[in-house]
Amino acid sequence: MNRHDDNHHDAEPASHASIAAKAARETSDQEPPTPLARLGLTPLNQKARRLDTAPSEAAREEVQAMQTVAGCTSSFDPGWEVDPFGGVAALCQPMEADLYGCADPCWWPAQVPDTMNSYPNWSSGADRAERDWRKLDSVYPQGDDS
Amino acid sequence: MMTHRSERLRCVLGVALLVALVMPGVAAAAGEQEEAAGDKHEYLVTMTRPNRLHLIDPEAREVVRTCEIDGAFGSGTIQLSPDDRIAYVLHNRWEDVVGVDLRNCEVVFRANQSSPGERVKSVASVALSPDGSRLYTVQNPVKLLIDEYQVQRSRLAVFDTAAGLDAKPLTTYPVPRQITTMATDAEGNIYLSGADIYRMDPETGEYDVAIANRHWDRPGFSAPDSLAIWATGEVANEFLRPYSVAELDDNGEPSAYHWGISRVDLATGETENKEIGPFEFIIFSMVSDPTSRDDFYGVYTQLSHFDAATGELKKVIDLDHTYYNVNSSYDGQTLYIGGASSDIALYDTDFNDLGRIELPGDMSTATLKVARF
Repeated sequence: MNRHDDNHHDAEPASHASIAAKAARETSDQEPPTPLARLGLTPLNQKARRLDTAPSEAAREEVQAMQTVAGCTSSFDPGWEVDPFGGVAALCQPMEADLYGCADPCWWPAQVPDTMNSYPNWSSGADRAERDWRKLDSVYPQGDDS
Repeated sequence: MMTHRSERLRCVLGVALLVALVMPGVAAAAGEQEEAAGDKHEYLVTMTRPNRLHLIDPEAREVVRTCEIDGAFGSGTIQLSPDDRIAYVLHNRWEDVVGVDLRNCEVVFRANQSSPGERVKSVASVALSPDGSRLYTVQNPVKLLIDEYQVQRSRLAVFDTAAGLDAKPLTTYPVPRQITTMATDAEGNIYLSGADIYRMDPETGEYDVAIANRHWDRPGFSAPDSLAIWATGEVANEFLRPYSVAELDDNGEPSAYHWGISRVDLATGETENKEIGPFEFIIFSMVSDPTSRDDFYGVYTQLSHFDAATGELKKVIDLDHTYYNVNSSYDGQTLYIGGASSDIALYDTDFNDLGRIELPGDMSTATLKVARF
């Protein structure tokens, strides 16, 4: 939703009646719900919004996951929570064995601080994760990051 | 153990005799190869945190030499000179390439790819020309402007390995994005692992698709999914990339899942792409048996053995933790398993546990190479 829409909403009293009328207009006049809306999902970032509003299926297919995901790109792998089979047995064992393998290539930057660019010294002094994991800390925005 | 070794020796001798009887040319070639290997000793080469390059004797199960390299860890991708004595390491958070003499830790080459205002990362993309005179990387540059980061086009950079410690590219060529591992064949063609596997002429920078993966035309199969971070293949002299793929029924629904391989024979440039067995568990890297090219070994939290000739999963065992990178001894008798954590595991091809080599830091994404000199 862009700024123009926000202003439009500000100008119109947000009564239940007006919202219902607007919804009815949208149902009759506008495009059908987007794919994510049909799933009851709301895109949260720019990439997801663009994917959701791709004008055609062909355009949607232009959004390709990398064969090898690395380098702070968005990973389509499920992540540490669930493995590709929908379980947990195929996750790395133990997670400490995989910790730097995820931090160094910026594989899952939301779960592990990336040492490639953003937090290069995160693992300093902790050369073996299985032994040194207690030395690893969370990271917090500071300085230029804040 | 002694009994087992004796049986194995008998088996090896028996196979050698059989080969000599039915394929004298092959036996002679193998003999010449052995002779060429001469007194060479087999080593393992890998990187660990924070900045250590290790030369390891797998027979003695010990680290022979440790070289500290200026700069931070990452990615630890390693390629070896033709005589195996120089290790070229992608280092310093995936930015610099450093050439280290494994005999004395002398740094003989360094290319710092980033420059003020431009940050360059290479995602495991390092290769050497067959004569060792040229080093290739794929650079992914980003302009660091005052108010934005501006992504630049990916490019292949050509370096002179004799350029010393401040090497600059001799030339660059544009390449597709998403390139990871690389290799060269006997004629000097460069292979680039990306959405497809590309083959580039290093003299002109022109490239074509050597093996189609994302863009393959295979009715009844999904697009494949691949992971290519570990630059091995030096033992069997091949460029190998495993993939997983779904086989589709008449309605386009997955009916079976398979592991497959895309492979370039680096002696001949011949390519192949085929399914080798069922997809039942994750594999991060794979290596073929140098003495039996349709036998493949994969590693992740399991160690597995596929016979591509029959499509059979011959054996799989659970490992005591996840490993990323599998390699093979030159005689095909021993599997070396490293990456991820801080120990290298050794198994024979029947998956008997032969021991561990402990290292002082995690290998993470580093390559586990096999060298002989």
